[in-house]
Amino acid sequence: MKEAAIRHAPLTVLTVHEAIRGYYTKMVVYPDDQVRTEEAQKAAQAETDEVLAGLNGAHPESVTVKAVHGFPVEELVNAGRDADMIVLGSRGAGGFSRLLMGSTASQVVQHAHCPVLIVRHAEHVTA
Amino acid sequence: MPTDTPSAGNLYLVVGYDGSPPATRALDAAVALLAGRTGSIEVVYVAHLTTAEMMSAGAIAEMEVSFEDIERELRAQAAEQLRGHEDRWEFRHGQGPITEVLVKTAEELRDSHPGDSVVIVVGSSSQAMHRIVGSVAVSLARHAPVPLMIVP
Repeated sequence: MKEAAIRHAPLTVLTVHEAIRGYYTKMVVYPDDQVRTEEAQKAAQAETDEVLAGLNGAHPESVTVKAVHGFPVEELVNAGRDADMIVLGSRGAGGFSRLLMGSTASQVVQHAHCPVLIVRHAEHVTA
Repeated sequence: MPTDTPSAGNLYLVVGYDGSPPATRALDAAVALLAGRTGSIEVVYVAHLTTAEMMSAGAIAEMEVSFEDIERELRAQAAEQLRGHEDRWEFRHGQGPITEVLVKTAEELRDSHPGDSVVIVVGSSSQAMHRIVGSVAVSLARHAPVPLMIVP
């Protein structure tokens, strides 16, 4: 985020409430998906606000927090179509610890149209 | 336009470069990333004798000579690509497993420039990464002590 502030670049924080892929349908829809997605949005907004507060007044040109219900890889790749860069953690919610690179990260890298920056968990990044 | 920009340290980019189209795109992406920032690009060519232990000394010497030729060509190719776009770069030649060399280069930069940022930049399917996201990218994602940028 600091990098976006340095460059005065707009930043989108995207969180995906993962959909269940059905046997016969593309996506299984549960009645509480809408609620869960809204919860994800709130959580992402809170974390974003916390990080922004840590920047001591500096801001990226704009920060948008979006939550969608869908398949993470698909949503990230689509969101990256008009982006200069996708930023991901190397292992998020989806990974087994034995996986070398998160499955989401590696699939996004395969399909992305723009560079993908992978930041390891618990890594202190100064820019 | 925001007035309060956080103080940006230098940005050091370690680019794995073998002259292939993905490596060329990785270098272009590094140039774009460095634009407007202070710092520099380390263009790193890694020669790796995978089966050194199985070769005679003479054969190894011969391969090392050809690595020097390759290095010269790659340095010229990188210079050509960067001319007019970016002159803050250096060419390095390393020997050993690609991941190790890139990680070591990044660690040296990080340790000698505390407070600055170091990012490793690789193409997503350079020769060393036949499979779309090959062993190098995966291994880097796991071992890189700094953020890793993978360029499609």
